[in-house]
Amino acid sequence: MASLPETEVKTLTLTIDGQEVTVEPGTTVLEAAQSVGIDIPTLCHDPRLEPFGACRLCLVEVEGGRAPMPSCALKCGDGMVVHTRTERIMKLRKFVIELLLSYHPLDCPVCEAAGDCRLQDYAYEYGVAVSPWGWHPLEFDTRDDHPNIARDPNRCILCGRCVRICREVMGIGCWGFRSRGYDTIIDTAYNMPLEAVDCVSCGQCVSTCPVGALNMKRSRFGARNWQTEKTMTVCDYCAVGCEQEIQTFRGELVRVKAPTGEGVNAGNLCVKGRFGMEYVNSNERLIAPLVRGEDGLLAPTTWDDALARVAEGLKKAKAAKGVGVIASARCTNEENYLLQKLARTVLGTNNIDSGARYNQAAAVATVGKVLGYPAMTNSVADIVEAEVLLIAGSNTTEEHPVLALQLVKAAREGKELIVVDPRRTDIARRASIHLAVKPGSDAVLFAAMLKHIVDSGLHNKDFIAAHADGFEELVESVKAVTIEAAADACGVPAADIKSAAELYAKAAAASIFYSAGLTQQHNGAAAVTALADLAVVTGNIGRAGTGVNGLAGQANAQGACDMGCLPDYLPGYVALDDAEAVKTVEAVMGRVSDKIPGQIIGSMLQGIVDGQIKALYIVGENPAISEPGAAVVKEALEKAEFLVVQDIFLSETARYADVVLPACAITERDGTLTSTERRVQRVRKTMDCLEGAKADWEIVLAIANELGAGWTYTSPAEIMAEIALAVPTYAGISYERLEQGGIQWPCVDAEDDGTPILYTEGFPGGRASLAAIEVSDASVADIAAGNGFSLLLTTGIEREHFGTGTRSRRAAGLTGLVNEGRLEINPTDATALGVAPGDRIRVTSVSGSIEPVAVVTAGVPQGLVFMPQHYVEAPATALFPAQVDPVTAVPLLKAVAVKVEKA
Amino acid sequence: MKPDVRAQILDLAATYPTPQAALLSALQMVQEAEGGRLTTEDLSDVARLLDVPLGTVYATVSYYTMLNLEPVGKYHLQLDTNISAKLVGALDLLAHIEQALGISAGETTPDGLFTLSTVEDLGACGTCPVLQVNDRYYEKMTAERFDELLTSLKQGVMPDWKTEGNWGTECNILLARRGKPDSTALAGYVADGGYQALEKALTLSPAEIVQMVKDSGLRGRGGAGFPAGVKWSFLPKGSTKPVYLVCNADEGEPGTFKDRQIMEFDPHLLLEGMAVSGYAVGAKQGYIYIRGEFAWIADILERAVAEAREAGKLGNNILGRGVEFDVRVVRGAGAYVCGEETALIESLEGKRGNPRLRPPYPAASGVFGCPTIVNNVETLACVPYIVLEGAEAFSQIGTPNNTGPKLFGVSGHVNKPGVYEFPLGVPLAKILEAAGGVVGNLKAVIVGGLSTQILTADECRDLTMDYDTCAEYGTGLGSGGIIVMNDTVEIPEIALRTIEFYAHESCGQCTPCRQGSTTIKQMLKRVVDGKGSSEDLENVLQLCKTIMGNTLCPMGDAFSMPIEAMLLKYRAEFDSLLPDGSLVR
Repeated sequence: MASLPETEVKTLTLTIDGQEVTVEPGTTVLEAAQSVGIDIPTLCHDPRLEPFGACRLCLVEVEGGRAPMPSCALKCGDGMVVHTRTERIMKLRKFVIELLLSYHPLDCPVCEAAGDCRLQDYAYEYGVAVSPWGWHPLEFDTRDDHPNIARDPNRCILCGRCVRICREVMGIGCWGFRSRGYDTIIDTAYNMPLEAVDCVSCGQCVSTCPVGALNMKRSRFGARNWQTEKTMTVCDYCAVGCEQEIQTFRGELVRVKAPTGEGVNAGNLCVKGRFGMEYVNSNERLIAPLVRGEDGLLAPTTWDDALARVAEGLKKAKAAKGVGVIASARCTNEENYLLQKLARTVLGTNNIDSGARYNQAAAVATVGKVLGYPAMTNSVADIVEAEVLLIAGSNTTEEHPVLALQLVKAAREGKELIVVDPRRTDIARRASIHLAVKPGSDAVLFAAMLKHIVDSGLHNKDFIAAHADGFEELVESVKAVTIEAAADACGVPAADIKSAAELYAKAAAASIFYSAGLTQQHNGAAAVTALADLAVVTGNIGRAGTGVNGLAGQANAQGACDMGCLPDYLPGYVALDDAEAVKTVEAVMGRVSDKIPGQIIGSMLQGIVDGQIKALYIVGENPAISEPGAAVVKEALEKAEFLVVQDIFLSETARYADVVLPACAITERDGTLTSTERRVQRVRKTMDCLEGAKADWEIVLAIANELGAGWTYTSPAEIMAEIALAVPTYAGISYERLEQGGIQWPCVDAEDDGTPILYTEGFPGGRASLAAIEVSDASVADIAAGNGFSLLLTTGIEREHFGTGTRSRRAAGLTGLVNEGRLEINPTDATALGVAPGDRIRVTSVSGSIEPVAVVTAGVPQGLVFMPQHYVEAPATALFPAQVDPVTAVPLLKAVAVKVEKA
Repeated sequence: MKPDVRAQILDLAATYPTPQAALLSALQMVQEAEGGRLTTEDLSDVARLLDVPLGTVYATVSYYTMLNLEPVGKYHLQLDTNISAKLVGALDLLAHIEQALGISAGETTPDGLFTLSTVEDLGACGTCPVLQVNDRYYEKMTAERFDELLTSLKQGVMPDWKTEGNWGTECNILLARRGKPDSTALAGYVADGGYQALEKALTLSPAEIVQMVKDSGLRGRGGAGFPAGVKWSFLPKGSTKPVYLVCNADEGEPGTFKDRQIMEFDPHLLLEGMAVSGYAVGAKQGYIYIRGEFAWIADILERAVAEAREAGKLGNNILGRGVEFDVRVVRGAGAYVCGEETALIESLEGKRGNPRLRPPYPAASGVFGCPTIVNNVETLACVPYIVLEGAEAFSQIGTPNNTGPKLFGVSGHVNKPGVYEFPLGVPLAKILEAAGGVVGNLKAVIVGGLSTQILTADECRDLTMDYDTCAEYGTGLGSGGIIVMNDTVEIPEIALRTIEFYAHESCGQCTPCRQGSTTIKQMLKRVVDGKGSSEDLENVLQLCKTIMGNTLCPMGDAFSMPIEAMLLKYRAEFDSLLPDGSLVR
């Protein structure tokens, strides 16, 4: 190996208050001071924001400098000598506080921020009781119209952090400074309600407000900051893996925060993470096991009774070889590991699947096959390194809002975004090229891009030669593709396809993001595979700012797959026919009696209808709403001989159950979740388990033991120890290590710090296996059914809600914002159909009919309507036939022909 | 929005690296087309058109005094009441106008015909009182002239009155063509030898010109007096980003009205200076950021730019030599702070004119994040002379380290207020003599614009007007705006009016300036109203001391230095206003 040139790691050394500090170039004096425990007060600084330097509290004196400099903006220089507490500086700090107190309302006793207010802290520290220049409190109106955010401009110190976070971090701009000088006030345009000015209710402005000018209305008068117990954990909505600080008081969750600098989110949260956790306090929580009585009604019972019945029901079905288990992409790794172990080693079946089936499981048969690992290749942290970002089938700012902040930042920094989405989503609006493809034509688009890249000689020949097999076959498979035909099939200009291909291929680093918009789409497997091919062919893999990044939907979708909640793979993606590897897993987990792959969720339900499956044990999933083919699902759930549902609420699925087992919420149990970037992170018990409920892992354990398994786990940590033995990519992970922060797998031993970027040193199989792109035209044509079904319906996720709404619809912080199913329709279509905004309408497909409310928007193109998936009163999935992708077995929920009429 | 306005805005936006840069111009165009006021709908339209959040558009509009969110009358009468105007009776005129219209300042007549506002310095200190009606200035106003104007306006006619200000020149460089008929036309400029410096410059290398400017000793005429050539040499070497040359024509320092003399009467002198300087610093695009109130001067400049472009003096092939440099005139919208170079840059980018943190300095990262040189009008106008006559010739004018000609604007209590060109180092007495001498008994002079420290009659007796001597005298040459006050003037009132101005113009970004200026204002108001205490005066001094050097931009110094000087030098006058018995020292 050629010797690498010695890279000089330059550092700077400066002196702050007599203390020598060595830092990286680019470090600010404030950061340098903080790194050695020197406290410099600031009001306008937030590490998430560009330096502002306006509060003038952080001024320091630099020897040789003329005037004091703001340490938040001042970059360290080698040999610099800084003084932070000179007489002049101390006087100045006091002066600034005095100026601010000359108009601050001093209503600390009733201020939500008291105890968590920088101005209060500094006034105390610098001994400023009142301003020497009199007190002239302001008299602006307070605003209380947002469901979650209250504002009191009189308390505002004009640090502008809210203005800047909304513009710089969120890329929105709801807030602005109004007027100037002493009359300056921070306001929305025309003092309009926040909801009228593009506000996404993320509460980021509240999170950065150093005083009580913006506060969380829903926790007002709940508990003082110092009264609450605070626990760091991970959000259980989407799979970005944001760290949350859960604050509880008297056993209830009162507030969710995110300390700046911590975790993948670095202090940012989305509307769900910040305002959506209240569901754990819901009085609808299940507090006792329920069993279906003679009268056909569910009635409370004891745990002993419930567990006995479960054991009996499962035992009976096992004997008939008719058991199925549905695990949850929301449950922890430990719980999922135990569930599949229960299925395979106790119940003797590979009929184990999870909610990851709806998206993440697609990675196994696509990117997993091409590259090696069925997972996101890169990390959130290296998104900034990309020059070009290709985003396909991902409404990122709504589905993965905190990860999307990096994309928004990239766009703001002038990086090129190419967005592939039929709808003009928020991220599409920020793109240099928006390819509004016809639903289902994504694979055609990518094949055309690939063809254009190869034809133009823009592929990375050296990389392909060194690292990939199958290039010829791939080229052969797209031989017949022409840009013009593809443009026609996709409904986008040929020039845009070429530009997109060239932008992507020519970039020094280009990354790809995709999500359920592809995996649940017709030709989804082909599309995702083509993306992996594109990355390899252009050498955009194994480096920062590159890769193929499938964004997992639910919080532990990645983990559920890693843990083997897949009918065809054991933990660690060990195929059932890989005898050698299976043995290794069996040595840890116990004997897997059946080596034949089991059924996915949809097949299990069909199996009930067909009579092969007798009993179904469902944990934390809600197929009654989430599965397509409503008629089959209903029949299956009704017909099942024995149905056990384990959940925190009486979900729509649980209503069909014979036994309902009440589980603990995520805030009441310990465990780990694996985020979309393969980061294994601790969730922590922040409050006592609701009386009557049990942690999922304890329930699974109890059922296993009721069935005679003799398991002896006493804690999730112990289960993780077993996972580390069973799954090589988790081998180095332990609870002890996770206390220092999450670890990205592969983490092969205790010395391994994890792997932020996959394939930096080649592919696990030695070489990547480029796959031919096979597009079945028929399936695209099928969607447009005709017969009066003149519109195409697509579905997706809404910013304010999640999944089937089991949790989000029970959080007042979310339901206060949006609480009904709304169908988006193009103005032209709406006019033609006589539909006005707000009308109740009937949407009908061959599979069913729902009645949402109409939203008229040019965000959907003519001919397409959009409906979010979260509403049990109007479940969009009910409109879809039970159909899955032939390769990945992911249910197809992205395109169905419908008709729309006024209800 | 009218389709032609919409098209104009889109065309303009397309010429900038970011569409937001067209925001101020767009708002001005819409406001003009829509009867002088911006509606919610206008703001939303512009926001959509330029892809800027509505909140940002609204925040920007609310920052600038010339953008109206509230309806105004058909004729918006704006009377300058700043110090120079006040010294020559602007407040009496205000009373007269209020009576004539039957409304108070800030009100609109019931028939919707007239809105009356008092405004800050309009850059017409030598010809005040000045009344701005919509986009037009009516200078040297008197009660009689106002009555005449009013009669005309009531008939729907805005008269086209020309006002000739006083002027004089000893150097014949910057005001050489001031008295010529049709001095703004290219033909006349060329006939007088114009654009020869550009011809010569293009035979030299950019580095040679930079060296000449350095050797000439030319110091920035905007106020700070920083050597122009040295500033130019701060541009990063080897940057791939475009370089911009920005001409600071946001002449707003009270007492200052000199740059307009060049732009209004000899625009090609400025353009030639810019073309030469643009070539020297490697810029292809220049901007003249002119204060919004100087609408007609912006028109003069635009006509000159068009003529110069037509004649190949600007454009993408200057003088057929393949050199590219063009100029765009951008109007501000009413904000004193935009005269500070980083605030000016923000404003050019279509934002609120809030000064930026420095470093980075504009030379490293200015307009659109690119290397940018910002020079004052007068500075750039000196460049042709330097190139044509040589650095040596320029440095012969004035005194060592204070070279070249300087424009001095004299206002207040003199017989012939106006603009006078002298070599740097000229005795103040000589300038005052040129200005017709002091009316009454000289009491005090502010020699460099309102932000410099006041000098008593005794102090300034032997003062010579250059950067170094003024500094020795504890003041600054600043912009050369000389405000003369005789013994009828009460300094506490001047101090109050001074701080009122700065409090009005504070951008509000940083705490000491925003809160400090208003706190000082409140205390001085108390004192002037006879309700103050000696503690107030001590507090004012204390505030000034603490604010100095500690604000984000030089604004804090701009008010704390003159206020402190007035209070220290005329303490007895302040003390005499305190209620009996409150003097406890």
